Amino acid sequence: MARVGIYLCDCGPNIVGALDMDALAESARRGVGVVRVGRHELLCSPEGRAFLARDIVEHKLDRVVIGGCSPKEHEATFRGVLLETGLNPYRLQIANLREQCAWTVRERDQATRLAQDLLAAAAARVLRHEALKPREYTAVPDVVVVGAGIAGMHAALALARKDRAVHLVERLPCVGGKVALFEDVFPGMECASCVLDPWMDELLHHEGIQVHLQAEVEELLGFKGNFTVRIRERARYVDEEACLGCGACAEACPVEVPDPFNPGLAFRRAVYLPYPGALPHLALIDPAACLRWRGQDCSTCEEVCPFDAIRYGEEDRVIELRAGAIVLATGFDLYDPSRSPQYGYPRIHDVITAFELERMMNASGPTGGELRCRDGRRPSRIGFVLCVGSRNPATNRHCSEVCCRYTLKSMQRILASCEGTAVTVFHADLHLPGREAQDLYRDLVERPDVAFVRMDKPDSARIDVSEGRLVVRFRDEGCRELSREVDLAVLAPAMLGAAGSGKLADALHLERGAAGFFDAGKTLLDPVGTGRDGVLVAGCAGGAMDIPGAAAQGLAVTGRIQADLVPGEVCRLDPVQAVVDADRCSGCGLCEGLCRYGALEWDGSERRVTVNEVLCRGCGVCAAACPSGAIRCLHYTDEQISSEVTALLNG
Amino acid sequence: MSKPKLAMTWLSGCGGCEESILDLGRDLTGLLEQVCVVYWPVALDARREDLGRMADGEITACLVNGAVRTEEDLETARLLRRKSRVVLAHGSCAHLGGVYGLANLSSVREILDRSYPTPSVSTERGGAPAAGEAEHPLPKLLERVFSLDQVVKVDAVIPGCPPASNGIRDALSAVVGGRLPTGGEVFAETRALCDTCPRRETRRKDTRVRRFKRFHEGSWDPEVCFLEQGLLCLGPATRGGCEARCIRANVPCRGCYGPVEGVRDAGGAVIGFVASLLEDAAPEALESAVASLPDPAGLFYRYSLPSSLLGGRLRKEDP
Amino acid sequence: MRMTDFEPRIIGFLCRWCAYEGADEAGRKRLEVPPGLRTVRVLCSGRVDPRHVLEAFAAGADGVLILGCRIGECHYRDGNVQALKRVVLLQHVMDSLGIEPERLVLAWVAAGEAERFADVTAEMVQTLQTLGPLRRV
Repeated sequence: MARVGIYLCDCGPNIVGALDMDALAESARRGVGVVRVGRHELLCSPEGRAFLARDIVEHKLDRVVIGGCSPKEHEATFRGVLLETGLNPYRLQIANLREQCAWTVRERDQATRLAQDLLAAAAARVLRHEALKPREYTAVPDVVVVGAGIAGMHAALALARKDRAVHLVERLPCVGGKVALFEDVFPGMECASCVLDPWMDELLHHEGIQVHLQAEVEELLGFKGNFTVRIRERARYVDEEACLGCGACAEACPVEVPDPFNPGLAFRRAVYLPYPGALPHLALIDPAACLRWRGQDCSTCEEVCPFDAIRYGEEDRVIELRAGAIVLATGFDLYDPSRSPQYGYPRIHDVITAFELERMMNASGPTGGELRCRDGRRPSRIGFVLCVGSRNPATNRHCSEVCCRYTLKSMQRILASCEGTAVTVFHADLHLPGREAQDLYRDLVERPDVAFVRMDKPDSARIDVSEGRLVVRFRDEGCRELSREVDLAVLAPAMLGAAGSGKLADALHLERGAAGFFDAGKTLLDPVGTGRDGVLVAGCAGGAMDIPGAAAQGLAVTGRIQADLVPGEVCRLDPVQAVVDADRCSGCGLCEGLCRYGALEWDGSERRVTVNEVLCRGCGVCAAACPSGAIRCLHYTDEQISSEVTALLNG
Repeated sequence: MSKPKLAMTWLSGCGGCEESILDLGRDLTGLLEQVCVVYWPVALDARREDLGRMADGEITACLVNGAVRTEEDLETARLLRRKSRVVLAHGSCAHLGGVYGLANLSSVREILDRSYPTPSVSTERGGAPAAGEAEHPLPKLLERVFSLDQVVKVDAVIPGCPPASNGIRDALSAVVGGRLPTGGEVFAETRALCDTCPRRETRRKDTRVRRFKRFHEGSWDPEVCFLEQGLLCLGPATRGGCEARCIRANVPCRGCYGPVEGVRDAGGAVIGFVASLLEDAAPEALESAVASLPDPAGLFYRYSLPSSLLGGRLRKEDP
Repeated sequence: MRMTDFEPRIIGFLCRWCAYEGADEAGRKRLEVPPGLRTVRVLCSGRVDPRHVLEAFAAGADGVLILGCRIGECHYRDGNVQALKRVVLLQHVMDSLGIEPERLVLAWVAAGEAERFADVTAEMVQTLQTLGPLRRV
């Protein structure tokens, strides 16, 4: 036999001033199972809570209704009081007599009637409350880092050094991201690979880091402390233990395809090493290019490999990982200037992107570090066109932060190594934060062989060939239509979120902005957060930034994870969840596709659906859809809701 | 030990449930030998007065089919209840109100005016016969159609329109075996039809429809779930136990066994799962989906309107 | 013709994350809300089962209101879209059952939208006053 206690809170003057409290108490007394009706000036105060606790014990209550302010304010508070007295905290129901009664209905009688109905509904509902117990689980301390660029590697190494198990998932066959492809890096003109190599080496050999190359995330479910991540590691078709990266296979391979690491500049074979210096130093086969995958019978690479490392029969591996936190460090891709045809890229051969310039100037790149026009001659006039596809509502609205600085860097390098070269920079404002950039700019601007030309608007230059000469056309600040001849035009395209991150965003149900960056840092003081607990963003995946910035974010996520995801931490699952009655479930399967959290699991052999209690958020959408009424949404069951509705209408 | 006394009769029914007894085939003779049939108007000569002369509770079990439509049905139901130890609702009409229940979408006045317009072919003076009067002692229509349990206590149910023979066999075997059913026991499955449907393996979780096809709009693959083929089958919202005879005849389920155990309103259950199936929630898409379900009350509540939450069309005034 | 002295009884299913918060906000701003409104808090508008709506009408409600987050902002991604589909189907069958479809209203109220909450509920009262009580006693 239930023993329900109903407590009316005066709430200072808020409730007592607007409602007839005696009438409320009287009608409350008539409720089924009600053995006690109490009143207090301010239940949420320390005295109020003490009174409540004492009273509950004194009257041996097993369920409590509180008529007071909105449950949003103090549901947690009063649940705490119940817990103190030994009652299950879910045996509480609050009637909102303030925000949705005393404060909104002016006429006293009407407000009192409303309050009576709300209390009756709460009393009817609480009779049907079950003693729910939160389930506990131990948080998984491991981390999945997606993307092995600067930010991802930094996070992985910093975490692993603190004994976290890290899974580093990288789409490409090598680590290092974009930076490993650069040579001299602003501002100190340090060699990127020299800086990165020892570091990447440590990472690749660290026991605590499992590097998954050629891998992408297929599915990601769960929440902080309890993620399951399914990844697919595409086959390399090369035995990683046996291969020494000698390159004999590539030399012999009959197929040539454009090399994505040296776009527009070089070709590679169907079996290949990614680029000189790529780590790990292993070959792989590209099934899109290889003859065998087109039904032809070629085993050239297998025949010439001195270490018997080729494995045509290798298969993709699908792996399920468990982690407590996810770091998205998928980096950036450059805007494709062919989408802005006025730049003539790639139709006009001597119009290249800054990335292609980097590869050209790289001593181990396709031209051995020599700057060359398409026809082989050395360019004596080079034009840098900034803000390509940037700062323009028609293309991308944002500024990509680093282009001005890397342009200065490239200029400095070119002027130092290629005598007799003149450089023109076509820009609309220069973004040069920090001292080094300003110093460099000052040095450059004073040179007679350098010209900084200001256009009236960003992303407004045009490039074409006129009488066999390459011409950059623009409007200057005075709106005069001008043009300059160059031998080589280098475009600085916008940085966008990596193209591949779209699939990841879908798997995570995360938003990406128009430029493809993850929506990170929406809250002012949380630059690496996504609003999803346990999912963090580091580096250019969240927005254009420079190398120190990406490194800093790699460390920032490490700090967050160290602080928020403590090994051995016990987490509690909210018991408000869906539960399937196996005796009622008919296996119609109509609920399964509804769950956005993947919490409904289909048992193919039993032909029943069950709820994964770790993933379920208790929204109840499945419960409302089940035509058998086989799904109960705990704490929001049909009986509870029905009893509320009936009592609200019939007092 | 004397044989249990069995009665089987109808209220407002179509006769289909009477025939369903014959579906027991050879088993029927065996069963009949184990009971004493004391009242079975369709097969035996028996009068109401005979019933009246029996002692209260003398009938061991009474199978009642048909809905409660008239005052006579109500009287008969009450009489049978008094005279029987257990009353079994036999068939959808007794169980849920049945197809007759769709009369609850209209008022009695509307029904009579429609059936007997002035003038009419079947009446001399035109207009509806004046029921309940000495000159025309026809039973008066009650204001609504009711299911049996809405007027008397029902001990067990044999659902279906008509019930499949397995349900009837199980009920009669229980009576014969002295295991009188109680507490509203239902002689069918607990779960929805999908659980025992021969096409269940062909259901996919991500099936969505933009609109439903009508039965005449195609020829239907006999192996594949109707929902997968874009045809509305009420199997997911309907209690199983009929051995999916309609499905096996390549016709989608129409819900005659009523909602699943524990579900009060068949329409609510159908709306729940149909909404899940709809692919697109844009206004035009929903309009098109809704337009492909003409007569939703008839579609969702074909057998169960009187026992549904609203019971029928809400009438603002009495007829 | 509006029956201005008829105070319709409305059952409102409010989602905890947006609509209920909006209703509380209306209270904090001391906006006037129809006295005939009786709210039931659910976690998501997608929790509202068609049976709950039918139960409310069967139990004497003149109108049923379902309030959730705006499309695209549902706390549970698209529970509100499920609610929308169910409401459209319900309105389709309500018509046959003699209940004017306008008596079932689905609307989106974000957490801070106090005035909108007050407006939506006031509008519903006007509609119901024009339609009259669901049952005349």
